[in-house]
Amino acid sequence: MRSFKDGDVIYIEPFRANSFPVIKDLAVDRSAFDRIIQSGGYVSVSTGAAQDANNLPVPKNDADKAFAAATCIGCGACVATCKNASAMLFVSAKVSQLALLPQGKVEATDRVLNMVHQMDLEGFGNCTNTGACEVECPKGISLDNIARMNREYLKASLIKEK
Amino acid sequence: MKLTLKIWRQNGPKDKGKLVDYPVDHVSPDMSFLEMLDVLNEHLVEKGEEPVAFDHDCREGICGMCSLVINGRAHGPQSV
Repeated sequence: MRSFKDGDVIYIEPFRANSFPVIKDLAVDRSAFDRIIQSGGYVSVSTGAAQDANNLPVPKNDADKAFAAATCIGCGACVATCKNASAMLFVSAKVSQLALLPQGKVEATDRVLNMVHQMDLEGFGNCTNTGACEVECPKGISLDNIARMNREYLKASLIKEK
Repeated sequence: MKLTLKIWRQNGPKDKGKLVDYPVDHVSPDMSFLEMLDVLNEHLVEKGEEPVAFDHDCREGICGMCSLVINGRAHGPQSV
């Protein structure tokens, strides 16, 4: 509460977006994000003993970028802030995190097509590069991820018809 | 600290919803924003009113459950 002073009037509202219906008062239903993750935000690997640490060399730069994207906590502040209620920052963070790593490259084509498809089904808007999401993101997810997702999407749509 | 909160109240997805004024007193600057809402809810329950529903879980920016727009900004005025 250090950001406020005596006598302040504070407006408290829920995250507003068509894809985030209000459940009650300030609580909104963000299960649209769960459905986007279910459509591709994973890597299919056989379980078992952990493999040797240096089996898959990952360049330091890629590892750092993937880690920065992976810090997204999926809160939805990007959607609430965006004038288009676009979920591109969230989806692109998830797509980037996996597309940058060798483990995620195998399914990268299907992943980006499926996740963007699901994002559109949920009724999120498109990105117009305003950058408000990047400013409000509590984890400082970079707009670069959206550019990376667009590249991934273009690449994927050339290879595969969806 | 004495504050006036204008909180969005909406009974359900179909309800129209409106901003309701809630005065709060004795707010310590050391409180978190959610703790301030906890205090408000305690008073509301004591008075027999419906407490304000809001999402929260870890309260330390890890889980991503927090979802308040404070003075028009998602997660409030403080930035990273």
